[in-house]
Amino acid sequence: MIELRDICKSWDGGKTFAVKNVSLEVPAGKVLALLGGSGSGKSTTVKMINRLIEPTSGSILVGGEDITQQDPTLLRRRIGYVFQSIGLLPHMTVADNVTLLLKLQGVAAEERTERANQLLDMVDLPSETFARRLPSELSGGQRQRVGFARALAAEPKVMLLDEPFGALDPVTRDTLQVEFQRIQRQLGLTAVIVTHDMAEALLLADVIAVMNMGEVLRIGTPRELLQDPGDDYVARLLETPRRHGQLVHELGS
Amino acid sequence: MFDADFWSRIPHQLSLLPDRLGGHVFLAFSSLLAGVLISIPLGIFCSRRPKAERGAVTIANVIQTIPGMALLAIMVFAFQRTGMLPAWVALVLYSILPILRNTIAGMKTVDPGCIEAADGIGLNRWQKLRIVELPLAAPTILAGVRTASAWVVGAATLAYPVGATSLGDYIFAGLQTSNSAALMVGCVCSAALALLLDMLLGGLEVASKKRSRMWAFGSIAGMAAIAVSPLLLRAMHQEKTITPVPEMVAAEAFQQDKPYVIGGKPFTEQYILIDHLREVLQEENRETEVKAGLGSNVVLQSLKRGEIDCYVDYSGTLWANEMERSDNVSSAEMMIDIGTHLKEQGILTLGPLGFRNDYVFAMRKEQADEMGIRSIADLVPHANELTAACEIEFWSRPEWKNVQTEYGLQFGKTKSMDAALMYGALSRGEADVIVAYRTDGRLGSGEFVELEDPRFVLPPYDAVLLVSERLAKDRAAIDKLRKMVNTISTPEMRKANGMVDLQEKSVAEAAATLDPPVN
Repeated sequence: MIELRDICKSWDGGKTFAVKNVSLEVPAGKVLALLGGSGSGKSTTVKMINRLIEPTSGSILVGGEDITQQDPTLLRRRIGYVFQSIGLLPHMTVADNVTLLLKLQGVAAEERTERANQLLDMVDLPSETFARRLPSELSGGQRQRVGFARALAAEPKVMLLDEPFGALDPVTRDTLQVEFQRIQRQLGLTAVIVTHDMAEALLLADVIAVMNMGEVLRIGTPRELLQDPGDDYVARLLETPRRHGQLVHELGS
Repeated sequence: MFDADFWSRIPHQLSLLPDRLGGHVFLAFSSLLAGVLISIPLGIFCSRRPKAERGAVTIANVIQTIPGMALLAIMVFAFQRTGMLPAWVALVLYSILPILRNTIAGMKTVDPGCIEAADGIGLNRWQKLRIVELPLAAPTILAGVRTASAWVVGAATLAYPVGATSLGDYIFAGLQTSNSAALMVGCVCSAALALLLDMLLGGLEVASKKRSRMWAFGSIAGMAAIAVSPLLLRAMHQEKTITPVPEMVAAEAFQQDKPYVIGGKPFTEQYILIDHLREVLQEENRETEVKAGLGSNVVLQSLKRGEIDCYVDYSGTLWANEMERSDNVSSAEMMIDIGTHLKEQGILTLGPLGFRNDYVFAMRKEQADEMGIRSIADLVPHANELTAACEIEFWSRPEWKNVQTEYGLQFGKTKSMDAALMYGALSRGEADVIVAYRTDGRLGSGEFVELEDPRFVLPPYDAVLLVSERLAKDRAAIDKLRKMVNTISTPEMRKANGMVDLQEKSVAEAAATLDPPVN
C-alpha cells in the first residue's frame, strides 16, 4: 500500500542528510511504526509521504501510484494526518473543524452535520455534547480525539500519525492508543505512526522500523525485535519497556 | 474666550460643517480604505519573504518619518496640482506603515499547528489564507488599521494648505484670523470623529476576537453612518436655506456653470480680501466658493490651472518669484510688466487695489525721535548698537542684501522670529528695529514709527487683483471687480487687519469696513 524506495532528504544541497536511503513497505491494513529519538529523521520521513516535505531523491508509492506526480493538495485529502500539536482552528466549533474539508468540497450542511456526529461518536466524543463546543473548551485528550475525527472525515485508506499521543498524560495516551487500534482495525486503515516510545510501537505496530541519524537500523515485527535486537541501539531502546514489564511482574507476584 | 461674541459666532461656523466634515470624512475614509487594500495584500506577500519584508517596511518607515505637512507639500509638487488628489495620496501613504507592520506581525503569529493542520487536511494556499491565516491574524491587523485611522483622521486636517476641504479649514483659518469659535468647532469635531472611528474599529477588533457577527455588523453600520453623516447634515441645512429670493431669479440672466473659486494665502489680510471679493461677486449674483490659506507659490499655480478664479497677490512677490526678476524698477513699470507676463499665462491682471504691503523698517517712536532717525539712511551710523528682528526668510531675501549694499547698513545683532511676536519684542525693547509688513494692524498703534526708504531699495508690493481665464470671460463680473481698483488705501487695509488681529473682530466685520466699489 505504501512503499518508500531509497528515499533521501537533504536540507543543504547534499552535504548532510536528514534522511538517507530509507526503503520501507507497509502492506494494506497494516501499521508501521517509525521509532527513534529526536533528530533521527522519523518525522521527516512520514511528512514526505503526504508531501509536506519533498524528498531530495527516491520515490514514494501510495496505492501503487508515484505520489511525486500527484497534486499535493489532492494527495493530502486522501491521506489522514494526525500530529502532536493537533492544530484545531480556534475560531470554529468542533463539528466545523471535523468537516472543514467536506465543506470546501461542497458537501451539504445537513450531510456534514450527520457526518460530524458520526465521526465524533466514533472517537467517543458524544456529538450532542461536543459538536457545538469550541476547541478551547476541550481537554488535551478530547482535542486529539477531534484531531482523529478530522483525519477520518474524508474516509482515507491511509493514515499518517506524527507522535499523535506525545503531548498526552499516560492514562489518556493509553485510552487513545487502544481506541486508535480499534478504529484502525474496524476501517482497515494502512498507517504509519511516528513515535519515540518503544512500548507504544510494540503495542500498536505490525512492523517497527528503528531509525537513527536518518537511517533505518532495523526493521521487523515486534516479536522479531524482542527476540533479536540485532543492534546495540535497538537493544537499548528495548531495554526500557522490558525492565518496566519485569518490575511490574515482580511487584505483582 | 467664551464670551457672548464667541457663542454668537458658533452658528455661522456650524453652517460650514457639512462641507468640511464631508471633505474630511471622504479624505479619511477613502484613504484608509486604499491603505487597507494596499497594505494587507502587501503584508501577506511580505510575511513569508524576509527580503521583501525588509524592503517594504523600510520604505514605509521612511514615508512615516516625513512630517505630515512636508509629505503633503511633496505631493503637491509631484502631481503639479493642489486640492483633493495630493492630499489623498499623502494620506494613503501615511496609512500604510501601521497596517503593513501589523499584517506582517499578525501573519507571523498564526499558530504553526493550525498551518500544519491546514496543509495536512489538504487546503490549497488560498483556502489556507482565507480560512486559517486571515481570521487568526485579524485582531492584530485590525489593531493596525485602528492606529492608521487615528493618524489619517488627524493628518487630514493638514490638507488645508494644499487646498483640500477638511475640518482643518476651521483650525488653520481659526489660527490665522484669531477666530476662537472656528478653532473650537474644528478641534471638537475632528477629535470627536477620531474617537468615534477608533471606537468603531475597536468594535470590529472585538468582533474578530469573539468571532461575533453582531459586533461586526454594529461596527460596520456605525462607520457607514459616519460616512453618510455629512450628507444628512447638508440635507438638514438646505431645508432652511431654500427660499427663492428675487436676486436668484435675476441671476438666471447669466448662466454660471459652476461657482467661482476665490483663493488666498494664509494670513489675515488675505482672509479679509477673500471676504471682500466674495461680497463684490455676490452683488453681481455670482456663486462663489472659497479656497483659503493656499501657499504663496501654490496659489498662483492654482490660478493658472483654473482651480481658483481670482485672488489678490503682491507685485513684488510676482516680480521675484514668478518672473524671477531682481532689477529695481518703479511701481508703475512693475505693474505693466506683470500684466504682460501674466497675460501670456492666461491670467488677467485687473490692476492695483490701492494699498501696498511691502517690507518696512520700524522702530519705537520714542527711540527714533531720541536718535533722530527718520529713514533707513539715518539708521546707518547707529546700526552697530541696534538689534534688528524679522521673520527668518527676510534675512536671506535679495531685498535685505540690496539694503545692506545700497545703504551700507550693518546691525549689531539680528534676530529671527515669527511676525506675530516681533511687535511685542520691539515694544519690550528686545529689538530696536523690526522689518514689518506695511499693512499689519499692529503697526498702527501709534507706538511705532515707519522709516522711509529714500533710495527706493525695498521693492513695491502693491496688491494686485488677478483673475482666471474663465472669470475673465464673464464681462459683468469683471466690470464689477474692476471697480475695486484703487479703492483700498494702505491705512484702510491696516485698520481692517487690526480689527481682526488686535480687536478680535470677525473677518466678515473687518471686510465690511472696506468700501464696496461704486457702480
